[in-house]
Amino acid sequence: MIKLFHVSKHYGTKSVLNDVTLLIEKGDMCCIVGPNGAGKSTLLKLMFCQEQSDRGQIMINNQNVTHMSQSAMPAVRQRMGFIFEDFRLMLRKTVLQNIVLALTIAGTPHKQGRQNVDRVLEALRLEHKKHDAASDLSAGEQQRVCIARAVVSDPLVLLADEPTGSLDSTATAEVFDLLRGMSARGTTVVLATQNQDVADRFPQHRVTLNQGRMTEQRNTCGI
Amino acid sequence: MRYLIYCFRETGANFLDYRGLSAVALVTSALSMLCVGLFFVIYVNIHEVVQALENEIIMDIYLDEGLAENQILILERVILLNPEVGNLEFVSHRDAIEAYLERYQEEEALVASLGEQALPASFMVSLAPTHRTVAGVTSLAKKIEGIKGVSEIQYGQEWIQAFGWGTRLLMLIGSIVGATLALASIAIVANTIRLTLFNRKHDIDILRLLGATEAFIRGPFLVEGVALGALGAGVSLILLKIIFESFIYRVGDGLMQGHAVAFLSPAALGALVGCGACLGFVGAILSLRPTRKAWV
Ligand SMILES: Nc1ncnc2c1ncn2[C@@H]1O[C@H](COP(=O)(O)OP(=O)(O)OP(=O)(O)O)[C@@H](O)[C@H]1O
Ligand SMILES: [Mg+2]
Repeated sequence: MIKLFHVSKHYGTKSVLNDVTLLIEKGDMCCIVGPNGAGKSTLLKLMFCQEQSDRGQIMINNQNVTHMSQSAMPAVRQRMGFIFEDFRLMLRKTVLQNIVLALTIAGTPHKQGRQNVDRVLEALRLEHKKHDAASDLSAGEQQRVCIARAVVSDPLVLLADEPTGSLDSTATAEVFDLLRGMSARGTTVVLATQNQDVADRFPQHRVTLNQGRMTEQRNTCGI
Repeated sequence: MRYLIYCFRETGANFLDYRGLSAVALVTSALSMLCVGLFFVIYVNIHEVVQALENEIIMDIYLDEGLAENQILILERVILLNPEVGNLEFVSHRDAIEAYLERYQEEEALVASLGEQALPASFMVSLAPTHRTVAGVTSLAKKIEGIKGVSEIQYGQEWIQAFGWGTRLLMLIGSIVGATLALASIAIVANTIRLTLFNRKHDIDILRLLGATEAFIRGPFLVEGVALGALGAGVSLILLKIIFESFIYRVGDGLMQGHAVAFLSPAALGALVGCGACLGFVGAILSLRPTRKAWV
């Protein structure tokens, strides 16, 4: 469960987020849509403690993460998955090593880890590439590795920043199936996109962001 | 377990990516450990000789002329009271002359001309096993010196002192050179790791985003430091063995007069590798020490 109360964020004098209040239930799948520079990535980074908000409170699974100490951060992040806009892969490492790294950090037991790895490799069609260096992959493949790494440790919260930006339509559909499946199993998914077609796939809970303000919220999840 | 594999894999990757630097760090730690090892070998062998010689120490206590038989008996009792004394043997004038003539037969005429008492009577004292040290013999000498009826004591004071000074000087030089080189290798290991750390900044940022703790991130660099130090020590042992076989062994055999020249014991070899690992560990700790805002 994710709660934001009157969250604002400035970069210098520029206001990037302005008084955002948002409630996302456990297992909910929320789509944040808005044009470039609307503040979608910034919003996700605040939830991920990658940036600090200037005002307001952020709660993740009943834990206040607004002003979290550096030492408390790893434990929170280990329970979250983040699909980065710019992938953030370790390019020298293989696909498999990148994915396993998330399990190593989370301390997932070996046997369960193996099963998870096999499952995500299959779901994202990366099996035949698993021993390739991440640097040798196409952008779409790199994005899929990034998704695999984010979901492999079964996170409670999944933050997806433009997760299908480099994917073809088949892969896009597969990724959304994967995300829906996770949401159905209880993972809270937050997805940010500037693509209206993508947003149209999530009519239940959709938030529109424009120049840092929430201009529209549509939530039919509870109904 | 998986983390250990990760640590070793990262360390391996760091070695490969920074071959030159790692090699320099390896060579310095090898050199410093080699130096320590060399002094150690020499010290161990000299110590061996000193100990053998100490076991053979005999003290000759020469007596004043013209002591009566009962005076000699009393003197013997008094000397035997000292705990340092193991065995005591009385050497009369006659015994002394016989022993002398056995060694220098050609001087029979000279000895005969000097008469019965040409050589003084003496006690030949060997030390009790627990007191067979330089300290033991010197303390015994001090106690006996003042006794009435004793004219002179001989136990090879000069070379015993010289040996003592020699080993101490060697230890001093060894420690100074070893410590200097150890500091140098700590500094170089620390710098090597620091540089890898900065070059890995991108990866370290990703690790933090994935929720890695600072300890998790530092692990591979600690392993790297320990590995550099321990490998350096390993290389130094090989070099030491080569130097030992081709040089010390041959030269030493002549110098040590019958005492076998020994290489280091397995425990000492292990200790050297352990020292190397510690140097590397300290180097790694130093390079990782600054607080998290600053360290990368
Ligand atoms: N580190 C930063 N320093 C200064 N300004 C920043 C920083 N990060 C983001 N911004 C500004 O904040 C605004 C919102 O950025 P953000 O990345 O959240 O947009 P976005 O909605 O994700 O856009 P896109 O669709 O292009 O990904 C932008 O105008 C950007 O210039
Ligand atoms: Mg963005």
